[in-house]
Amino acid sequence: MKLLIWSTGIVAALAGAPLLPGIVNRVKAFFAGRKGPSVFQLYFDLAKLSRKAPVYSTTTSWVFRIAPVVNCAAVIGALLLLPIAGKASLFGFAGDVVLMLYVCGLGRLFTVLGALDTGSSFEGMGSSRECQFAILSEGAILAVFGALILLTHRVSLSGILAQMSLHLWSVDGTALILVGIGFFIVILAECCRVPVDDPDTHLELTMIHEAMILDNSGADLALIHYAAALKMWVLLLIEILLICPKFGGGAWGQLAGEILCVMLGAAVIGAVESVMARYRFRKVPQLLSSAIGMGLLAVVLLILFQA
Amino acid sequence: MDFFVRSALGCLLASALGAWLCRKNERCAAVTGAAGAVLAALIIFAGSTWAFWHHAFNFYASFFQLVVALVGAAAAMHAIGYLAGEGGKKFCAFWSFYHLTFGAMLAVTALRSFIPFLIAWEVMGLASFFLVMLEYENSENQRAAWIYLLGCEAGGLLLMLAFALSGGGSAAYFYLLLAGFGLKIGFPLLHVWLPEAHPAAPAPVSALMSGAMIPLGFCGLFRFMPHTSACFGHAGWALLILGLIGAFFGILFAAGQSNLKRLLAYSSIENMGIISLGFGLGFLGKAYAHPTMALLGLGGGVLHVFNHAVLKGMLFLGAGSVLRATGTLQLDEMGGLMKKMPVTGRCFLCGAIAICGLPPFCGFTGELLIYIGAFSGIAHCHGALFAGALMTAIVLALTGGVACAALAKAAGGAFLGEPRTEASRNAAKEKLSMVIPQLGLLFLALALPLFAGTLPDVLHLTGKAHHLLSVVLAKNALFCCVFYTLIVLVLAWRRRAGRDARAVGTWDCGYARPTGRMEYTASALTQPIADQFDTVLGTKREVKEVSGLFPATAKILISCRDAARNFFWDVIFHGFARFAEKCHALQSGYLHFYIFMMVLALAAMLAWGFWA
Repeated sequence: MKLLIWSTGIVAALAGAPLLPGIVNRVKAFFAGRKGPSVFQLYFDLAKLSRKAPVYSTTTSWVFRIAPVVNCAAVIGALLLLPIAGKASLFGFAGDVVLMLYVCGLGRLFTVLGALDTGSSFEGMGSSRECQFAILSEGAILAVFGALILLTHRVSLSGILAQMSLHLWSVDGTALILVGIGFFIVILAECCRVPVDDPDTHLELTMIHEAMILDNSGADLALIHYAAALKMWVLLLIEILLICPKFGGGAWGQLAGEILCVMLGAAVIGAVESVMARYRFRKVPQLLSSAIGMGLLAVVLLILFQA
Repeated sequence: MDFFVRSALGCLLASALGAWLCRKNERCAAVTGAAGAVLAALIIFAGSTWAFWHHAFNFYASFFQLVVALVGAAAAMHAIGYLAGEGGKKFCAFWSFYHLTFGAMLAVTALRSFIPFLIAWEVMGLASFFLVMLEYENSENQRAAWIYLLGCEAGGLLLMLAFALSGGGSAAYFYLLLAGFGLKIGFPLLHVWLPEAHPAAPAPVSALMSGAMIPLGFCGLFRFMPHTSACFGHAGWALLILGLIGAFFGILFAAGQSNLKRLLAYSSIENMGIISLGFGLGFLGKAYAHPTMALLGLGGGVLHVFNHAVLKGMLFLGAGSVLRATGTLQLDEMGGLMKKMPVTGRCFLCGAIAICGLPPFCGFTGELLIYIGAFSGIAHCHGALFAGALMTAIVLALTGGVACAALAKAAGGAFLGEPRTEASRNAAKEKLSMVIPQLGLLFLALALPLFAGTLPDVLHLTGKAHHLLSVVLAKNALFCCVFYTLIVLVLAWRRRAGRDARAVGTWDCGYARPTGRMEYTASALTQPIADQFDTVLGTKREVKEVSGLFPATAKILISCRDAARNFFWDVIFHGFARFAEKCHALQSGYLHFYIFMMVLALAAMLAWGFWA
C-alpha cells in the first residue's frame, strides 16, 4: 500500500509536470487581460517536438547529444528521492538532500557543457550566467536545509518533511516563514522564472536558460522542456510540504492535496511573474544572497528562541 | 617497513638502474622505467590485499601506500608517451628521480620513527624538485622549481623544529607539525608553491605530486600528532578553519585561471580543503564525543583522499596529453579537441564532472559523507561546534557551485566547441600509452561508488558505526544504478524519437559563418564570477580599447595573480630583502671596524653571561 501510494505520486508527477508551465502561462495571460494558450499547450508542444527530426550542429560532439538526456534523467532521479503523501522514498537515506541537490547540479552542468559544445557565443553567455547564479542558489538551498535540520533534528528529506506540522508552525513559525521565502526565491532561480530569468524574452542577449538551448531541437528540446517542468514540480512539492504539511483524508487525500497545491504553487509563480519585472543581472546575486541570508536568519532565530 | 614495501623499493631501484643501462635506446629506457613502477605498484597492491585478509590493514601505511602506488603506476605509464622523442638520456634522468620520489613516498608511509621519516620526507622533496626542474630549458620552469624547493625546505625545517620539541607534546609541537606538513598539503597561505610547480612540472609528475604527494602531509600529520582528546580539539578546529578557507578560495582562484594546469593546481588546493573539512569534523567529533560526526567526517576525508588521487591523477594526465597534442596550456587557445582526442576528452570530461563532486562518479561519495557529518553536527551540537558544522555545509555547497564553473571552463574550453587557434585545429593524435592509464583511472572513478560499501570493513568498523556508513554507501550505490537505468531509458526513447537527424552549422542567432574566434572564450565563461569576487581575486586587466572611426586592433589581457603571494609573501620577502640591503652597510671593508664589531659582540655576550 505504502509503495502503491508513493509510486502513484511519482507517476502523477511524471504525467502532470507539463501542466505547470501551462498554468503559469494561463495566469500570466489572465493578469495581462489575454485569453492565453491552453493549459495543455506543453503536452501538444512535446508531442510535436518528439515527432520532429532533430538538427545537430556540425561543431557539436556527443556531449551535446547526451546533455538533454542526462539532464532529464537527473531531474527524474531527484524526483525519486522525494517523500510523497507522507511515505518515505524508496531510495531515501540520511543526507539524501545532498544527493538531490547534486544530481540536479549534474543535470545543470551537462546543460552548460552541451551549450559550450555548440561553440555559439550566445550559448556561452547563457552558460556563464547559469554557472554564476547556480553557486548562490546551491548555497541558499544548503542554508535553508541547515535551518530545517536544526529545527527537526532529522537529516533525511523524508525525515525533515515528516516532522513538519501545524504545531511546529505555531512554535517556530517565524523561522519557517523565512525558510519558506528563501526556498521560494531558490525555486524562482532554479526554474528560470522572473525576476531571475525571463523564459518568454525574445532577445538572446538577456536570456539565461533559453540561451543555452538555442541549438537544441526535436526530441532533445522536448526532453529539456519536460525536465524543466518536472524540476518545477519537484521544487514546488518540497515547498508545499514545508508550508502546508498535512491535509486530511488519509494517504490518498494527502496525495490529492499535494498535487492540487503544486498546481496552486505554479499559479503563484505565474502571479509573481505578472506583477514584477525581471532584475538586472547585477541585482540577481543580491536576491540569491538574500535567500542565503533568510536561511541563516532562520538559524539565528531558532537558536535564540529554542527552549 | 614490511616485506612488500622493501620489495617494491628494490624493484624501483632495479628499474632505475635498468633504464640507465639502456639509456642509448629511448624506447627501451622508457619501457624499463615504466615497467618497474607498474611492478612496484602491483607488489604494493598485493601487500594491501594480504594486509586486508590478515586484518593488518593499517590506515597510515596500507591506505596511503595504495594511493601512492595507484597514481605512481598510472603516471609512469603516461610518461612513456609524454616524454617520447626527448631522448634516452632525458628518460634516464626522469626515471632515476621519478623512482626515487616514488620510493621515498612509499618509505614515508611505512616509516614510523622521526629521523628515518624525516630523511625519507626530505628525499621525496628533493627528488621531486629535480622532476619539476626536468624541463629546465625554460627559465619560468626554473623559477617555479626554486619556489617549490623553498617550500619543501621550509616545511622540512619546521618539521625538524617540531621533532626537536617532540618531548613536550605541547600545542606548539602540534602547530609546528601543522605548518610543516601544511606546506606540503597546501593549506591557505602555505599553498603558494602549488600553482607555480604544477604547470612547470611534466604532467606525470604533476599527477603524482597532486594526487599522491600532497595528501601524504595528512598521513604524516596524523602519525606524529599526539592522539589525545586535547590535541584532537586543536587539530579539529585548525583543520576545519583551514579547510573552510582553502576550499572556497582555492576553487575561486581556480575559476580565475586560464592556464589549464594552474587551474587544476588550485583545484587541488580546494580538494585538500574539502579533505581538511572532513578530518576537521572528524577530530572535533572525537574531541567532543559525537561519534557519528567523527565517523562520517573521518570516513569522508579518507574516501576523498582516494577519490582525489584517482581524479586529479586522471585530469593532470589529460592536461599533459593536451599539452603534447597542441603545445599550449592556455585554455583560450584550445577548443574543439574532443574530435581530435576522443578518449582523452571523454576521460577529462568525466574527471571534471567527478571532481566537482557530482554523482554518479566517485567524487560524490566522499563529499556526501562529509555533508552528512556536518548535518549530524547541525542536528545535535551546540555553540561553536554547531556554527562550524553549518559553515561546513554551506561552504561545501558554494564550493561545489564554483567548482562546476571552474571545471566547465577547463573541460569546455579545451575540448568543446570550435578550435580557437591553428595549434588546436591541427592537434596531434593521442597516443595509446597516454590513453590507457586515463582509461584505467576512469574505470575506477565509475566503479568506486558502487563498491564504496566495503569501506566500513576496510576501516574495521563494527556495530552502529558500521551500519550507518554501509547504509549511506549502499543507498548511494543503489541510486547510481537507478540513475544509469534512467539514462539508458531516456536514451532509448530519444533514439526512437530522434531518427534521421540532420547536420548543419551552429545557428548562433543568424550569423552566416560562425568561427572559433566568435566563440565565448574560457576566460569569459567565468568572468562574471571573477567580477563578483573581485575584491578577493584582484583580477588584473590590460585593455587596449577600440578607438577611432576605423579601429585597428584591440586587446584585453586578464590575469589572476595569487593573493597570498601578492599581499603576504611578496611583502614579507621584499621587506626582508630591504632589511638585508640595509645591513649591507656593516660590510664596510675596514678591518678596524670588523674588530670593533667583534669586541662589541664579546662585550655583549659577557654582559649577558653575568646577567643570566
